[in-house]
Amino acid sequence: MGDGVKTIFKTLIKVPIIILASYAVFNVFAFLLSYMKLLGVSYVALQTGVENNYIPPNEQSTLQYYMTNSLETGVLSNVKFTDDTTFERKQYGEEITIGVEAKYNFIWPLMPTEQIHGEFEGLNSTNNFGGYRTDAELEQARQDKIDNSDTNIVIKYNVPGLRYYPDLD
Amino acid sequence: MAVKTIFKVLIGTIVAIVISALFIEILNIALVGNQINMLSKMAFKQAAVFFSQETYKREDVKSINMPDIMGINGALAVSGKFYDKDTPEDIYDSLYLSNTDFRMWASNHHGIWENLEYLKVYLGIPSSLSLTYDNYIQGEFYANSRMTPLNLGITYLDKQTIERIARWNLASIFANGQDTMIINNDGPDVYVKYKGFRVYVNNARITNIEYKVLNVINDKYEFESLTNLDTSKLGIDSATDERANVCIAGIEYSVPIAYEGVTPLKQIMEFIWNTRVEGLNNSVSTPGGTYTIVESDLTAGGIDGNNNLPVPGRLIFYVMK
Repeated sequence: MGDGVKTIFKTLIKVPIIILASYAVFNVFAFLLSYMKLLGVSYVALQTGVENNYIPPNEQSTLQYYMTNSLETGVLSNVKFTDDTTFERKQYGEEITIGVEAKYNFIWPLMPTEQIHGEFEGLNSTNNFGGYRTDAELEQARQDKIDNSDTNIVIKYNVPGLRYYPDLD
Repeated sequence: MAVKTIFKVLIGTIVAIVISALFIEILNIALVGNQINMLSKMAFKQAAVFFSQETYKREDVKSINMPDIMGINGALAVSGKFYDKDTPEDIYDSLYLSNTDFRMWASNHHGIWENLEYLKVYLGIPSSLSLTYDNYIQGEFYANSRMTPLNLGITYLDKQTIERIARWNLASIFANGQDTMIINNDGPDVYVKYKGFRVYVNNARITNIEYKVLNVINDKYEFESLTNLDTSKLGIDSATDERANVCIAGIEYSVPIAYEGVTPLKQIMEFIWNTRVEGLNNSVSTPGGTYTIVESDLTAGGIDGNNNLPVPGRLIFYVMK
């Protein structure tokens, strides 16, 4: 094989490897940055939980608003409290669980993306055309997908509540 | 593969592993150190709040003490008994009536709050009020109804009690709900393993409680900078109003911590340190050195705070009428 052909093949192989390596490096940094952000909000949630023995409704909505509007990015989605986070008042010393979770979406080249308008739903169970969805339905479908997606970053603390409530036994 | 290449790869791998481990350790120290600082402060602050709520007065044993915290070997690690005595009367007596710290504090705050002076008359502490029958009876009434400075709107914190509460808080927080993280079978000191750190909870202590009486009118700016309160909305217009004198307590604390790491780097260092190389006389290497974890104190709090931080790490507590 001539040197020219060899160079062409080497380049052909190198290009996708360099692209993949670049994406990998990007993912490492994006993951670290996302994790740090999530860690920061988990500290605030932890502090709130320990001081109140639970996450009070006002703090819950403030933190959830922050998580949704400030933390969610192209690589980080579905940022929320874990399902077992304590939202009911407990007495001093009782164990509470405070957790936040999120889904980190790894970015790789040639990833499928959704169409913006009139997505084709495909064939239904009877092998007939299933029809199109409206923009609102599509948006809802995307939201459902986000809400129901598995999270792959979970930061959870089991700590005691450190506030005494005289009205609780 | 040439021998040179093999060595190059070997050394390169070792260097890469060590650098990665160091990077992870530095990152861990930066993140967790900050968290330990925050949680320690909260443990002491909440201890002061819990003390001020005077739960022992509820005549309910459950409200007086917390459950003991057991360690990894099932034995007592941190006591949940916060007070020296068991009944509300005895606890009140031990905290105030027969407490030398309280008597000293009361002596140092002379003639500021009239109600406290009545109590001082009854306790035989030099008071700005004269020893008359009426003053004595008033003080006796306060003592019999277990009136504390906190009830009178004056900040006084019992150092020993708050220290016990804070230790319990620290152990509960850092154990993360797992008894196995509380190590009470490794030497004389009990410590909690927390993300590569050791927190010696039973050695945590309040180094000082500094009291400062500020007048919300005369010391307006200092009071506002410490408490973030707007003094114009407190309803106190005169500096001579007794309520204008607010006692602020600055809690200075110290929590011994040590770092043992989250990567195998520490184990490798420990192995190397503990292995004595005998030399060239055909002798084998034997365990010889002693690798010890170095403790250092995390100190913070107080009225002025920790000046090493970009923001004051102060911890103050106060009550107002």
